[in-house]
Amino acid sequence: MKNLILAGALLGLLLLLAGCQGEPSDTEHVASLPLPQVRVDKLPTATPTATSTPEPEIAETPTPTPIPQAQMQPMPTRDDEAFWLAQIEILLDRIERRLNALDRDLGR
Amino acid sequence: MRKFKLLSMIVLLFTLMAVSVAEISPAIAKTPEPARPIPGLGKMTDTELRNAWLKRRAMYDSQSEVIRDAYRTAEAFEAYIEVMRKKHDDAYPLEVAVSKYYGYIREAELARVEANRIFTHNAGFNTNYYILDHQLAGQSIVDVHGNLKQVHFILFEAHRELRKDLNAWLRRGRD
Repeated sequence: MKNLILAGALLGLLLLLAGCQGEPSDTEHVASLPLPQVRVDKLPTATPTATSTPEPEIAETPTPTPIPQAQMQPMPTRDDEAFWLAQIEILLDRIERRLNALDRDLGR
Repeated sequence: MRKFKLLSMIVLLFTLMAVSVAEISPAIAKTPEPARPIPGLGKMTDTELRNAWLKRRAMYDSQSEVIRDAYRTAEAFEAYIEVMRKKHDDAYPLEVAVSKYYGYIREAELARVEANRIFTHNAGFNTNYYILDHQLAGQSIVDVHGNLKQVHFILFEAHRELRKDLNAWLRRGRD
């Protein structure tokens, strides 16, 4: 009889513990990207089979005509106005993009 | 008879426990966080407060990048002025513009000291940015948001003025 009562109490405790294994309420549901799906049918096989598609025929291409030499402009050096103006423009654009993003975030 | 009574009581006890566990545990697991009011922010849950804090930290880092790029821009301007001097061109308006620009950057950096202090203090949050004190955390967010806006205004003005001065210089060259 005592054994029966003890077994019953233990079973009850186990039931209570099992029931309290709920989802923790303080977990963050962080949105995450879905896992990439592996498409098994697209994976390459190690050896080609008899039913594989035949090698593509490479058509004989005609000899390409020489491309006329373009008028090459000399690259701007650090002594050139154009180089530094371009650098300034790139930096200012980058800064302005960040400031616009911050503007949206700050809710102005 | 006594055994039967005891057994029936045990079965009844199990049934009661199973029913109560089935009712209570989902309620514990799925209780939504309470949204508590914060002056200046309205009602927010702890998760929302944490996300808002992390967003402000990201904005602060973004402003750090802007200031870093601003220094690079000022250096590029100085190199450009040097090129113009070698060509015996009068680059005085650009020198004034760069000097003004440096002034704005310094002003922005001084204003950021307060935001840096607030983030370092991290009042209301623990080291993983979880909420320790709801009201204190909300106040930290309100304070740092005000400072970020102030720095943003200074940087915005700095770049607007620099663009204006550069465009005026380039137009002068074409006139």
